[in-house]
Amino acid sequence: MKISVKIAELWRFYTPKKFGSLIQNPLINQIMRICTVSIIVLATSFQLFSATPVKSQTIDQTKVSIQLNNGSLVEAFNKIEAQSSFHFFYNKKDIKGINNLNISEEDQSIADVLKTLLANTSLSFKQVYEQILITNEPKSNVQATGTTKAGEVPIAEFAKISIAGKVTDTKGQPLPGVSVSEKGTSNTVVTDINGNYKISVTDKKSVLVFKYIGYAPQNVDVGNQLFINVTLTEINSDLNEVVVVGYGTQKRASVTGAISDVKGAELAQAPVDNITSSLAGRVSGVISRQTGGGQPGADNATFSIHGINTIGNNSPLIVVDGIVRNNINQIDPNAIESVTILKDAAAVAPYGLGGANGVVLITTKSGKIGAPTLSISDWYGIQHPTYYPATLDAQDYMSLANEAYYNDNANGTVANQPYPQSTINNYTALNAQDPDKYPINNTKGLFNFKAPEQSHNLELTGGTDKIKYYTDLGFFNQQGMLSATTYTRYAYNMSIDAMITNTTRVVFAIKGSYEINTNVDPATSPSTIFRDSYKLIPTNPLEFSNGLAGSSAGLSLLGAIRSNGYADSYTNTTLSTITVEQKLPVKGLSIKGTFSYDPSNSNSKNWHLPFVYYTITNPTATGGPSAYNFASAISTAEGPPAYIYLAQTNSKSQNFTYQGYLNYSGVFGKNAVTGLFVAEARNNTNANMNVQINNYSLATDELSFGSSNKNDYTIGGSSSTGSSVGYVYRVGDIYDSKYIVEASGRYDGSYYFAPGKQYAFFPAFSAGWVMTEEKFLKNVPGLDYLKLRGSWGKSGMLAGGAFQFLNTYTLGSNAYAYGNGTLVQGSSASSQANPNITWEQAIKTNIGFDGNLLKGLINFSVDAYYQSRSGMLVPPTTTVPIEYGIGLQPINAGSMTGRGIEFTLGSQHRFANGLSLGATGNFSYNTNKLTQTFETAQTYNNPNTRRTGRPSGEQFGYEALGLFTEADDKNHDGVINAADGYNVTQFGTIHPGDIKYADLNGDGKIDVNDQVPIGNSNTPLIIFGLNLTASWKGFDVTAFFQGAGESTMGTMTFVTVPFANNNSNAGYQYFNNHWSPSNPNGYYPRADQAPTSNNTQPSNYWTTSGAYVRLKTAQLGYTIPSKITKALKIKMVRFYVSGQNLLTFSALKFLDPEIGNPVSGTSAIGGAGSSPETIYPLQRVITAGLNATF
Amino acid sequence: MINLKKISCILLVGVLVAASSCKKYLNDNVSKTSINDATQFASTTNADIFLNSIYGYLSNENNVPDQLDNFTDDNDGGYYWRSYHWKAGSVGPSVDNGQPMSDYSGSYQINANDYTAWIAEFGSGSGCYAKVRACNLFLQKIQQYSANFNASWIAQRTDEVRFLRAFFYMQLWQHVGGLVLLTTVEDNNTETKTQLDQARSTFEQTFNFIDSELAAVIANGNLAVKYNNGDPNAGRATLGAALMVKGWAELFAASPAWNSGNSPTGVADPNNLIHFASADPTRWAKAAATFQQFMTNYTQYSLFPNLSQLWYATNKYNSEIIWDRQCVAGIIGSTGDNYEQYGGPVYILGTYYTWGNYCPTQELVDGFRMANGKDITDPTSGYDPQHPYVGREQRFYQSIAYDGAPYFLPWMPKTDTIYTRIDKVHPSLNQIDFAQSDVSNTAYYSIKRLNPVAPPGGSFASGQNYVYFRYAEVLLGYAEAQNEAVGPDATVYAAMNKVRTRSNLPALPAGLTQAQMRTQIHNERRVEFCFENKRWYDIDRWLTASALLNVDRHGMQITNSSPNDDKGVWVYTPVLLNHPHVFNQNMYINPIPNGVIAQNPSVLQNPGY
Repeated sequence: MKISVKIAELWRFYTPKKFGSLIQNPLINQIMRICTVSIIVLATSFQLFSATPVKSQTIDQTKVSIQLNNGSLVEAFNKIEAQSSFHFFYNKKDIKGINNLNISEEDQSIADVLKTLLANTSLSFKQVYEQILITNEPKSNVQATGTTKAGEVPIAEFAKISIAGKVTDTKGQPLPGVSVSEKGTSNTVVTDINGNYKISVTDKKSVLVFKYIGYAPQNVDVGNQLFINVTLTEINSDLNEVVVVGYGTQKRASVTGAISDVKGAELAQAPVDNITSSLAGRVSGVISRQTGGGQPGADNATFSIHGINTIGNNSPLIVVDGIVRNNINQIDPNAIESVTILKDAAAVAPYGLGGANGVVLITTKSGKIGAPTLSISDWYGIQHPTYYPATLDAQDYMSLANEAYYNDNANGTVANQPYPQSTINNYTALNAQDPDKYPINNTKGLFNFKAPEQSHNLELTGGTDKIKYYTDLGFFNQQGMLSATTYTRYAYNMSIDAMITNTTRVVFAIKGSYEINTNVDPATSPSTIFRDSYKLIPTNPLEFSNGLAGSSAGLSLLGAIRSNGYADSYTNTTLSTITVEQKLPVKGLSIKGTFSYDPSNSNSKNWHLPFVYYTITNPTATGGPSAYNFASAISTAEGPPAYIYLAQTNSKSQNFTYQGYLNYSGVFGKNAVTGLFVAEARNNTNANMNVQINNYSLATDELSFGSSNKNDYTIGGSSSTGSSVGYVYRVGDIYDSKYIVEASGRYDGSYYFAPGKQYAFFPAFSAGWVMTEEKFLKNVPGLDYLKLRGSWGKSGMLAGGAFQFLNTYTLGSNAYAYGNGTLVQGSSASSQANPNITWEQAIKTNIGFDGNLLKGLINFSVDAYYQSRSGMLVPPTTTVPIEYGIGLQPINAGSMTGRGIEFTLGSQHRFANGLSLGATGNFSYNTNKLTQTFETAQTYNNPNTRRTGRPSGEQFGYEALGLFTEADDKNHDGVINAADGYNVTQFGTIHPGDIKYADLNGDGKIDVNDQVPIGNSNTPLIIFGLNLTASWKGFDVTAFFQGAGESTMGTMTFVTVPFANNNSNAGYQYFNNHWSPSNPNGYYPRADQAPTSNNTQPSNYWTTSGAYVRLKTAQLGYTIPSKITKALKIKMVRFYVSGQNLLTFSALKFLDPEIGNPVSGTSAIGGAGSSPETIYPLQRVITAGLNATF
Repeated sequence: MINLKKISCILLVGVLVAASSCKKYLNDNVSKTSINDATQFASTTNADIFLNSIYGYLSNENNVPDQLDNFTDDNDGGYYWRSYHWKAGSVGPSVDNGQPMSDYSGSYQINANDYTAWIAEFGSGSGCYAKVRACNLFLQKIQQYSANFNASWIAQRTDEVRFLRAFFYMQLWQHVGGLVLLTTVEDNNTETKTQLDQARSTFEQTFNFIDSELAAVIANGNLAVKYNNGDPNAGRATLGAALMVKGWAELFAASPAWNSGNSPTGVADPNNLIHFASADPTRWAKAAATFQQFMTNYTQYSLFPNLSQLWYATNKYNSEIIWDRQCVAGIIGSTGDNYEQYGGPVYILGTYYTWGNYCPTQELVDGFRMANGKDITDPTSGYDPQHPYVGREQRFYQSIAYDGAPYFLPWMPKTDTIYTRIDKVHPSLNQIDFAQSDVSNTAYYSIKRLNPVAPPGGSFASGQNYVYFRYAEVLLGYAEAQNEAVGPDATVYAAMNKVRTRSNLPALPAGLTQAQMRTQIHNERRVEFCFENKRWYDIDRWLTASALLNVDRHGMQITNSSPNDDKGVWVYTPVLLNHPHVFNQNMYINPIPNGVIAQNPSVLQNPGY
């Protein structure tokens, strides 16, 4: 607390404005010296602008008009006060009895008016800044304008004392809306937007009470003071933080919507190329999972807010620096200042059609006032897959193949068994003799299990209150498990924020990235290569002893990896914004215009070279590897063409956003009012063209070298445009720092829909009640702050695609050929249009508490929400027969409800010895229920299979009763059927070791009518995070745990189903745990030579919990003591080591639980990219890094 | 500074102005990926583009790895295929994974658990009713926009499309019996659910519809009888195709499975969905008459001299081809042909080339006669079980790669010899495989229909058309129908002998009884049309599948009596394949997929499911 009592301090504080604030800032000279030339030029010119004299108010110049008929002096003073910003200070005694004044002045200076008024009195006046002192001093001593010297104001014994002053925070920033009251009375005023207040108090014994949400209240004895400046100390810094909300910012204390936010620095802890996967668990209410795997440049997580709330697209809207930009991948995590998640209707309503799934607001860093600061941040990491399937070695493969042979061939003979037992037994010796014929393969050796990644970032920032600048350059490079698979990103971010006049602010920001993705030959893919490595039959040569590529059933894994073909893409993205903000002559009113232009250009070049492998042409040769002759061959077994081709694609897009803002904030008594209106228009254009030429004779990767036969050409291209318009409003009032009400919304339109059906209105209302301001909670010990929030509103989502209201035909190429193979174009009727198609609508209700306990030691936030989504696009195909023959565009007929609860609890404490400990945890539980959807009578009428009323994504299948045992085969014929007393028809012939299903309807056959729910959705209902931090004497430790629960995963994969694909290997997960007569307790069904229909049905035999807890990030850092760094003229140096995905606790031992795998996805076993273990593995990363600030 | 203020004001005003003119702002966007009704049918050129796609809906069986022959006693494709699960008896309305025909959409699905493929034959994308809807839409629109077209174009295109629609219906009818017959475009905006949910027509009504539509096309005479190579219209529907399909539909319908008065599945069929209500032997005569009409009137068609070269791309539209699906080599998309990737010898010249899906069974091999025309079971035939591949008829060598067969196609640098024997001294990569690798389980490979110039490989290397019907089928169809209707008269002999003569077989001995002639015809069809996806329909309509498919098939195990040095003799032993061989009587007809009934409860399930 610091109370200024001396005019001297007033004087210093109120430095005449005409000198400009540059002078106030002693740092400016330093900045001027070191800034870049351009900034000097800019700053200089701004200084010139600023030097224009600002009209300072004096009582000589300020004119008033006053009429008094037998009025009192007090009345006169009041009238002058009403017409000017001046305020009178006087001793009641002095002016008592000065009545019957008659005056009529038009447009006279205050000084002149006062001279007239006081002409017949002993009183004199003088201006002390914006105060006019009326004193009894001899007039000669009084200057008409200006101020007296410090300390010279004689304070008389005032009867009614008028006090003025300014309330600021500890950083010197003015605090508007602070309640200032005279203790023991109802006399209260509120500070204006500049933090100034004026209050009249009874006498010098009065005590002023300053109160403001989130700050320690202060009592100040008036005593002899006329000017009381107060600095309030925050009791919890959180509440006063400015948080970014839709189309603006708010103090956390005044937020009534459900939002959560996280600092960029916290997200940047994890060594990732983008923040999609680091959000989950950091902030409540966000579910994110890296379902797509960990391929460099393609490892973004899919994420959703408040669980799954629509059967359609659950992706939230991404907003970067106030502009809707789906550019989360292009933003360097180092350049992120903060991320705010908008969850409830009040928070998302300003986004109208884009808001229903929640909004992610990413704010990038901008300049900060202060000396230029140069920071570097570098890290280097090593990646290792979290899980990698273990496939059988040659001996185990052969044993299992033989076992399956006998299972499937009741009359199998030793002579015909696939592998002689002697080969199996002697395999190691055979390999030693002839590694080409009896290979021992190591497919793991094909992949880099220590692929490096690195990030380097350089940041320069600084500024004055007139101009602030920020520049950032980032480099990120990630190598892959395959050498061809890399991702490189150069990112930059520059912004200049200048007050070009006292009322005009201009912000120019440009950021962008250049991304280079390199990938394997276009005729394959990393997931195909992983798949082929799991498929590789271990007795087939991967690589011959002379280094030539071998093959397995015509697939050459090594041939594909060694191909010099490539699929590379280069993407240039620029996000540019210019903002001009103008304060208007009306107090508190400002306008802002923003224009942004975001062009993006992407080129890809795909060059395929045939996959060459070798075969032995004299397999009967004796004498070992050296005796073999090799011939080359081209692998075409699963589709890669034998010819060379080149495909190039160029796509361009441009996004334009125009925003006009009208902003108001004002204080009326105890009401602090804000208003916002935004008109926004967006439009975009997209165009692409692609060309492919097949059958290159020369292996030169240029289009002009391609075949001249036009049948080898494929040329395509398309373009599109889109636009939308919206009007946003938000009005709010905070009464007495206690009651907060807000209304917001958007009238929004999109080109997606039919003319006349393009616009929608999305209003929301919210309120907050700071309960700790009420008497009954005021003195509860330990309870510093408690706010109750509630909101209700509508938001929307643009589902589906554009133009679904049009009945059209789609043109295609190469439909058919007549005559001598002349190809002709074709066209087909597109899905039947839905002329009434419109947006999805969500109605959200949210109630929450925010609180602080024990002087900020504990802060918490709890939210419970309910939302109903209607108008979900559901395919109405079930409403027409299959014979209808054409797809129907979805219609807005689905609805579902979602409810959930989430909370955040945090604590931070610094002990006297310097040890600082912190813990922040959050937990979200979201459930949903489909209340209306299209389903057939068949599923609806069976209570077991009814989709309506169940959660979206609920998985259905058969109820497995376990495996048939040998005892079930009563007649020992190897087959379980009616002869054994089992009268249920399952799927084909069944044997001991096959899965037994429950015939729930007792009709003697297992069919769709016997299906039941067999698990939750694949998307977890629970997600939680716990961040633990500690620091002591320069050391800091962070451990961040993330977890998920209540999800069901399918377990049918390559490693649990043997020989899942033709010519494929099996996994140890199966091998070590499968049923056989000698291992009757094995879990997995008996071995067959190929998956049987019976054992691959979707059932709860193939499910497991998807719950997991993982140590997502752990970090240990050390900051070199400032004593040492100071000597080196460095502000700060910190070293750290960190790890990502270090530990995982899960029921799944062979698959990363984060990847997910729906049970119904079992049909995809063996499909590249669709079977979970063929997805590029997620990576565990160990990183070492350095942060330094100069 | 003033300017900057102005700029900000202009920005604000600009946004407000732009926003207030937003009606236009939003409606300025147009869809550039599609065209509307009026444009699509603005001219014959435009309308033909739509028709081209309907032709494109013709299923390209060349791209199907699990050929229909895989569901018969002729072929053993081995594991991983629908047919494998079907043969294991895993069949039912909600077991979508193994119905014969479930690859007709041309989509290639290799996994056991595909719950969409069979239902796709009905509806979505390339299913029967999607094709039918396109036909009905075309017919409706060319009437609606008739002012844009000339009358002769309308007449010709109408008949083309009526033929195509009948053909699409026929394909599905063969597998499921009576169909919901739609001749107009259904519209859920104007029709109620009850109106949309049409019931199935009976087997007979469906047949009559197909038959009468084709009869009308033939009677109209708007189409050419045949297009020869070089004709720019070659590939379009012809009168020849219409009459052929009509004859085949009649032959199929006259067959015992549907024409005995009894339900083929053994479960009563009160609604006559899968059989004629009563037997009518005159149905054979109707088929015979149609084939007779073909032979008499459409003399543009005749047998192509060399059966093994019939499918070559260079021989497109040859005199024998009646109705085929066009393919173009090397073009990415569905018009290509990848038959070679799936079958033929797996290893050629020591290199892996194919998936080995066409593996003739010993049963089929035994069906080929000796060159002297006698069955191998005839003691006078000269057949030596220990030299089984000596002295066989020409079509054997044209169709089957057997142990020791020389194998040469022009794309190969040299002739290979295919060894499938178990040879421990000189092991061959194509050696018979009793486990699950691609190599044949039977010791044989089909080499029929393989493209001579395109090496097997990815990306639709071959441009050979898929032939649905060729003239030999007119002859053998006539022979069968006439033999059943009248008996083995001279015309039956003449038709049979024409086919046999082309393949250098002697004429049939005179004096065969009707039953003996029937056996000859059935065997002739098996051999002549092997690996042309005809066998399944034959054993189905003849009701012989229960006998043929309920027993395990055989492969040929060839071992040396002195295995360690090959100095003994090669011993030929037919061995059981030990593959599933379940044929329940309901498998004579496919079930209606569960989803079809779920969406249209008026559709009744086939008896037996």
